[in-house]
Amino acid sequence: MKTLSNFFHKSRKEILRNKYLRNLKYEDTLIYLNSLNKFKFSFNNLDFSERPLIQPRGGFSSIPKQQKLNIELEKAGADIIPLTIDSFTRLNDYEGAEKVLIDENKLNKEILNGYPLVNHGYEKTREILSKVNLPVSLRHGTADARILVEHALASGITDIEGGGLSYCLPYSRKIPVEKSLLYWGYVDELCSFMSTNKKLIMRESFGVLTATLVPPLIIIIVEVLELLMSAQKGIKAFMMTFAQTGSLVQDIVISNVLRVISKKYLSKYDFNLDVLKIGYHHWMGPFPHNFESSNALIIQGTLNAALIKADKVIIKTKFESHSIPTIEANCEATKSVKYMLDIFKIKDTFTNEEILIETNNLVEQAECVLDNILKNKNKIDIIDICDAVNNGWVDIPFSPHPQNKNKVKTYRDHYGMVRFSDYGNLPLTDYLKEKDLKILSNNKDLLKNNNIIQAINWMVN
Amino acid sequence: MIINNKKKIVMGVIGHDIHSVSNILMHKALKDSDYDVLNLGVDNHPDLYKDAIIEFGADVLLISSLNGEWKFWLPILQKSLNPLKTKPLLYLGGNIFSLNKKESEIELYKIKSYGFKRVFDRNKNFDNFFYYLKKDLNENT
Repeated sequence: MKTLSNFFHKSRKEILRNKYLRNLKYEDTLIYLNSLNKFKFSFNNLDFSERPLIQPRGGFSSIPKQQKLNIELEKAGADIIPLTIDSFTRLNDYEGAEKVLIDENKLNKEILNGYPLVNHGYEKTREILSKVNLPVSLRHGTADARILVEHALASGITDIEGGGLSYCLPYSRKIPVEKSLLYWGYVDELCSFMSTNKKLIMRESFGVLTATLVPPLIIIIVEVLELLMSAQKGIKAFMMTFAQTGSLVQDIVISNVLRVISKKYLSKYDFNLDVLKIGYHHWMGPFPHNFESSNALIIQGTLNAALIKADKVIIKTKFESHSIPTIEANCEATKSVKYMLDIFKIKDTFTNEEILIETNNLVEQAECVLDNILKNKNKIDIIDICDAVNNGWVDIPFSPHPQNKNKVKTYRDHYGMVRFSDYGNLPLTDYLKEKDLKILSNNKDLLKNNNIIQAINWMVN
Repeated sequence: MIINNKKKIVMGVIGHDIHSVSNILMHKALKDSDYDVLNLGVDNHPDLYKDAIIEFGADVLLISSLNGEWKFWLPILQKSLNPLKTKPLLYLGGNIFSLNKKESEIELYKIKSYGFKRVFDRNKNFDNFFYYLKKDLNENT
């Protein structure tokens, strides 16, 4: 059995005081996870699949409805079942969620916008998740997910999304980055502890960030930093992700750079992973309101997922701009996406001169920023990463977090590519900035689109 | 003390909602249009709006909500604002209404019963909002 650090035990003592942990014993979780069929672990299924695996989104507050969703999604052909958590739980307001659940019972209607896993608890959740023979992924947005992840693992969830940066800067305003990174260190250590040779817990980063004009460089930086932090805690299966940018070229470039840079930095620090994958989110910005366009956008995102050779695609439904998806809408989307991926097969990602130039440019930029951030060359130092946020080297547009500098400014060019209009505090050399600007000016068709609202509503017609 | 005639606006995202993009854009648009703005940002309990209105003296309160958060929090906001002698104009924005037309009519009725004057549902830009804001504040358009 792996050993847990002093930091972990100290931190656990603190959360044990929270009644919502309900005396959960992590030793029992390990025994339960070991008893599960290996196909309940997504890394296994990912390794065997020729096409991106399909993961819908969904979470309901009622247990029977959640169970129905899971069973219907399995029938519709989903490969990974989501468990999306409500906003009370995301912000650690378990007492608030409890009050709402009482109201829900009284009024006999759903109010929460997701599944309150901590309140329902791992016992009941384990029972409903055991009804499907697929891996389950925890989707949330919690900067302090320690209690939530304890319940999730004990429920048999083997895919844990989130990270100290990607679930803090876009999702929280009250938890300092310094704390979030420590809390996610706890989660990583716990997930690593629960992983055995044939049954690895998959940790997945959330490179979508605010899904609003985020420059590819920032996505790469966050994904690589979270990969390295998890790897240092002993995680052996990791998925880097990003969302459809609005430009196929940029999507291909991001996936290229993620593949190159991640391997390079893992070997720099001598980290060995068994499984390193890429996940692709359908368009995460404002969706079209009419079904014709939203269906088309979903199909386009699916095509892009296949073209970048994503290992998993996290899908949307035509109802995206209207509400959290219904069971029916989710099944319909799952079936369409599955049909498309089954008939569209390619051997390798395609490339051309433009993609090569953009890829090389982004690799150079990413290395420059990462080398500035990672001052300690022997280990990943959390202080270096905190400094990076506080210096504005990790700067996510439209983040609600007070530590985020909001100095980086971007726009969308004529071809839908997200470009820098202000590098903010990013530690890029003058040479790299000039090179970046030259790529833009070389292409005469790249008209600058100054209207920020139009750029955000790129997919809304 | 400098007294200005600028209209005062308190704004924020209600409940445990963290959707910050339009909040940031709206804040900038209001400042650019020369309003005095107090932006509470995301993730706010209704009581905070009441405190802000008392401290700041708002003419208008702008609440935004995504993914149905308003359904739970607006009744609490109404209770919280109830003791105020003078209430600001209340506006709600975001993705508010259900797809079902009948349901959305009931929702609009409810929102109005909580004291809201206007609802801006899935607007693609702020034109509509500014038109009504100026109209309601008796400003020349």
